[in-house]
Amino acid sequence: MSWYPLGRVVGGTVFPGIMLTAGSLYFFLKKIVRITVNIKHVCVFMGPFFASNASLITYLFTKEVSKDYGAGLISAVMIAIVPGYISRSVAGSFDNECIAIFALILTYYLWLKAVNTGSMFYAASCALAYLYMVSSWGGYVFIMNLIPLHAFVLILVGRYSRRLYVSYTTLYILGTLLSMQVPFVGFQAVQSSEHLAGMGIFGLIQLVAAVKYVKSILGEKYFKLFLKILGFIAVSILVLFVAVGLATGYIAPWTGRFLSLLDPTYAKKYIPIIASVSEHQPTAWSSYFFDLQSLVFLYPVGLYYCFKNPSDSKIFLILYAVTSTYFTGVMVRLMLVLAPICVILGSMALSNMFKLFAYKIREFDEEDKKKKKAQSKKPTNQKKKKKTEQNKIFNLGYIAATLMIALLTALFISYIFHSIWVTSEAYSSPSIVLAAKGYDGNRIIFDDFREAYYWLRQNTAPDAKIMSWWDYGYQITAMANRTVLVDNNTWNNTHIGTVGKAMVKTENISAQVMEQHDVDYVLVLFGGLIGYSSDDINKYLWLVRIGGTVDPSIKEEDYLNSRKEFRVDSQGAPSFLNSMMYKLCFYRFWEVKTEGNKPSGYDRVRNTVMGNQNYELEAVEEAFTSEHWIVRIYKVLKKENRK
Amino acid sequence: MSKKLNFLESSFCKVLRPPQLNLRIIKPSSMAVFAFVLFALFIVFAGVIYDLIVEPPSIGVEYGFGNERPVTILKGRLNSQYIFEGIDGALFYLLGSIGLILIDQALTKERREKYGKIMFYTGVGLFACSFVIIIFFIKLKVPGYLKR
Repeated sequence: MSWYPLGRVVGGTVFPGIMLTAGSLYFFLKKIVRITVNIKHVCVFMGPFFASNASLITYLFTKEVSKDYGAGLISAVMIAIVPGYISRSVAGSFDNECIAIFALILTYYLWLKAVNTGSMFYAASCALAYLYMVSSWGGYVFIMNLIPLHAFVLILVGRYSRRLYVSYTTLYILGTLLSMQVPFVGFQAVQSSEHLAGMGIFGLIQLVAAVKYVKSILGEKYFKLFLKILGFIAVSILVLFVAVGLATGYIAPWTGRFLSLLDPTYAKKYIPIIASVSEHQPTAWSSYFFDLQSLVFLYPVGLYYCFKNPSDSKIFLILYAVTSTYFTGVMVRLMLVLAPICVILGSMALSNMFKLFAYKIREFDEEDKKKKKAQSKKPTNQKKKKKTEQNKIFNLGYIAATLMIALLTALFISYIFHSIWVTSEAYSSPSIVLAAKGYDGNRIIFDDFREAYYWLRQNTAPDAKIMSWWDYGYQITAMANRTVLVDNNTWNNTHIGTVGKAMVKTENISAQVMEQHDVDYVLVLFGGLIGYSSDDINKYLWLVRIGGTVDPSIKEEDYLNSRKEFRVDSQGAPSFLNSMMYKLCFYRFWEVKTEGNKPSGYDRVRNTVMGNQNYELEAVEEAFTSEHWIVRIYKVLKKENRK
Repeated sequence: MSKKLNFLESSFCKVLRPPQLNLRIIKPSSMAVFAFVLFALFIVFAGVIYDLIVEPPSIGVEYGFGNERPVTILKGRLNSQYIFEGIDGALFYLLGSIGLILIDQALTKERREKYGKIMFYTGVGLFACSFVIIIFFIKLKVPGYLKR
């Protein structure tokens, strides 16, 4: 159980798509194909399975947009190994994103098919794919805002047509009705501000269609008059609707996570939990190259080709590219959404450039054949043509064209090598078993997490309650099989703030909070012995900020010293050196010699000697410390008899 | 029908007087919009949003031999940067793309032969040099890039 003592309504706070997909695959294999597999294997391999499906869909998508088989093939190869997507779809990564990106590309492909052909069949299939997307990931809001934006831009640019009307109307109605079937979304689909754009553009497109119909009936003179009156009425109704909706609170404003995409500084000031997740950090320039390699160069070239010969689908690609680049700049985790569009545009660009040079080579072959034919015939009198034309297309030599094709192929090959290196080094280490290279190059394994969780599983009462920071909640619930106070779902920020307050205050106040929540054991992470830098002391300031949202007396300045530094040695702030987290992490560390030439109690992560030494713990006693001191578990003592 | 519409318009005009607007619909050419999009891409690739939130220093400092030397690139960590370093990286990304666009322009539009040649070779040179420079920068940032 988690979130003791509150509990959590799992049906209403979770996206069911990935569980349903894994269950259906397992059922299909077991009952229909009659192969017995363990459900664990199905879950582990779902990531790669859906990534290969995404590769197939990307081929269809690119072929639909660019009418070019070559570009489709290149895009299928590139999306299969692009590091930005592979990071979330390796085997073993059973998270929402592994099916969400497949559903995203499928929805967009069916939408473009619907817009290009105007058939209601494709629009209805798009609505079904949209339902699959809604049930998989919170990022469905991106689809529900990009498709209306596309429709709006098409109307603006003057590309309104009957096909657009049919596809958007069908998709909006069916899609909204279907998305309301998912319990997590429910009535949010018509109430929250994130879905308002779709409704607004729906009204607008009905208006545009009605106006065009009326224009065909009325004459020119009366049409202008009609337009004036209609415009006035429509705008006033819209303003009234929005004002009443916002004033009565029926329309909810933008919620935290999505508002922090529009205003990146919002989360830093008001919601520290969202700002603390390392995936939500903004992106630096090098992450683009690391996750996309040659695609960062080919991506603007693809955009250039889209601007050169615009069509309905290419305008959609431009909008998708621009919006997803901005959102990726705000959160590094959304590189996942940028990867498919980079692949599509990059493959269009690469295919076009290949074709340019390949046609030159083919022209040379044909010229050679023509010259041989001309030589075999009788030489006729040819008038010398005057060199009248000064403007002609630059005639590339045969050798230069071949060299350019070789260069582009080398670029493609370097992309493959880069993707393989990145995947093997950065995106395929399990996060529960740490590995490091020793002095002589051999690998040392740190298995402390599993050791500690199995100790908890085997040596504590079955109804014991564990207090730890929310990062480890899922792991404790699954591997130690014990109740936790807070876990990774982070749906209740005040409960997490209470845990933060308990860790950050002194031992007396912490003991009171722990008694209120019936806590039996406390678990902390400490990396000072081996130099593991993602331990709880490095996260300490985030605990302070999040605890400060619950208890206003916790201020970040109290935990920094007079020079505004966060230090662990004797120059650290006294409220930090006496806090519960410090005492739990560094208990008995003063007896340990970590490096030969340094005094005992030398912290290898912060590179200083610990400040507060030789203290006693009153409210807790040490229960377990793992082999390399990474995980430390303390048992909460019962209060002494009153005197 | 026309009488009713005229009556509607005259009554509407008695209550509110619509202003005399001289509105022109501005239609920019597609290449102008593309140039604007490239500029926006430059801003985002440079990590300006990262700079706004994390507020890193503009250049780093290295202490040695009793004096301070400026350091452009933050070594060792992948998802952090100095302000200048971000602008540097985005500049080379854009130059590489512009090189490829120049190659395409050289081979598909009719112009004087001299200019076609210059555009083509400039494009190839720009793209090749930008790619090599970016790989050099990344090797500084990520130790052991492309090594086992």
